[in-house]
Amino acid sequence: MPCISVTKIAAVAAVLSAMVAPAYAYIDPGMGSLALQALIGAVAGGVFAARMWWARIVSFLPGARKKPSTDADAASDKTPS
Amino acid sequence: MAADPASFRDPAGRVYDVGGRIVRAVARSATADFECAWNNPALKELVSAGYVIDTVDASDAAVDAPEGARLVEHPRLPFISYPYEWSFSLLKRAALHHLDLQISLLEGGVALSDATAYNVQFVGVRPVFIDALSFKPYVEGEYWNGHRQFCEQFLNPLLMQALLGAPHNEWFRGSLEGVPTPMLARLIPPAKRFSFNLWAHVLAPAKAQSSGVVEKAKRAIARPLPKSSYLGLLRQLRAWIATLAPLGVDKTVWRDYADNNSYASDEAKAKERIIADFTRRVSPKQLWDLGCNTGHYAETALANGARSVIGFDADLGALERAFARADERKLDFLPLYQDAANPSPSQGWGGVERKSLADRSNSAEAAIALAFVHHIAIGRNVPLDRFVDWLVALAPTGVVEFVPKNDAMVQRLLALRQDIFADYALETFKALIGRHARVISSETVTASGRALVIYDRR
Repeated sequence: MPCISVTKIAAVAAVLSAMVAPAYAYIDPGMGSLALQALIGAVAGGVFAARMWWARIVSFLPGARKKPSTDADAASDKTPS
Repeated sequence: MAADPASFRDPAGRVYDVGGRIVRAVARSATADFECAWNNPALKELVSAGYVIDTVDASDAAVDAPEGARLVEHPRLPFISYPYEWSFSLLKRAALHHLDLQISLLEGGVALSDATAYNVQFVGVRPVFIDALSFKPYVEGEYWNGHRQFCEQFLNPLLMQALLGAPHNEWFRGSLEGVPTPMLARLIPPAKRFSFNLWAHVLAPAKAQSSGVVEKAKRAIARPLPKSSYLGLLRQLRAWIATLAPLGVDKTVWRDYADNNSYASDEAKAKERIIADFTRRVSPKQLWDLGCNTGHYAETALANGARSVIGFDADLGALERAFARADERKLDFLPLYQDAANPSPSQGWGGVERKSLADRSNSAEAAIALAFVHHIAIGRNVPLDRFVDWLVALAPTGVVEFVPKNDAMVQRLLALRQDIFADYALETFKALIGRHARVISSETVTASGRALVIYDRR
């Protein structure tokens, strides 16, 4: 599909320049929201990754019960705060 | 042919009602993103699962759309409801639906351009995302532009009920864009402020917004947001919202009415038989249940030929139980918040963007109003003739229960006040209905003289 290549090109461009032109939306995204997304997203993404790793480690421990849900589901069932 | 009055914000397209067909004109400038998103396998999967509204080509539709627009068509939904009519559980379900869509789509390379609650609608209590133009290809590094809108239209209203015990409905109805984050931040008591989630999505954005950090925000978005952070935000909100529960609705006045009412069991059976016979005879595609409480009679109607029921009640505790009933028993029943003495108005831009309850009553083929009239005619001082005018105008046929003055529930309403309701009597009530419709039958169902009156104005 042509759109995938467009996305890929954009991704490569982003990586090369480490900059993306701000993609303005038709709605006002709010200054407070944008200014903080990188910080909050990094924390939330980190917590999620940590939970996934922890779930994997626990599943290898002897006596660990097999859960029907995936690692991602198990991690997202709990609030990261 | 004018576009739907609610369809104007996003220049990417407009929605038209063409003789009952719901047609969307995608602007030429937006067709590339539209085609790309709609060819994405992740989105196709969500459409076939019923999570996103079906969208098919409609190039044959006669729409006066701008030059070069692409025409597509969606199935017509049985009823359009608004977030200020949703109970806590419905709003929470809509919020989780929005986040689930975003998470699975982002993983598949599609982003959402907005996060308005009006883009989620319900069929029964099953949510469906209706805006085919909210999808666009995800560009690596982009920010979540809909975060503020998501918070104001989903998160903040939910937090009002979950943290403060204050329902969102009246506020949302007064402020159609939702609950502004700085307003909510001011209302949170100090003891409840110690939460990373609350800080991240309410307190810190409110502070940043009020300090006018335009330059800081511009600098921030010049750096790409890693996809893992974008997904982190969505997953964090999803996990948090999944734990939220409504505070205080377990103690509302009418929540336990179905278990704890003034009916003897044979009297309740008679009422049920009349509703069953009525719905079997009329077999309405859509029945409105005014004062639906926890949905007992809505369920009776559904079991006897009503294809769907839209219920209305002003008691949020009863509505929570009605939601649970519809959800657990998979009923095509949507219980909504509505104060009949002050129903949803026509409002928004031009006064017509969001439709009034009466303007949405075309789809009601029948109505039932049980143990309801006294709350309006006595509880709210609405003259009986005006109540009848309003009720009979909503649906062409219906069953209405008249609750006489000597009934214990009416006596309770009159216990501390003067009886100014000289004309409140069954015979007057029937005569008033007779001005608009035929009275098909009137059957007394309780020892106190409650009667079920069936009318038909066709």
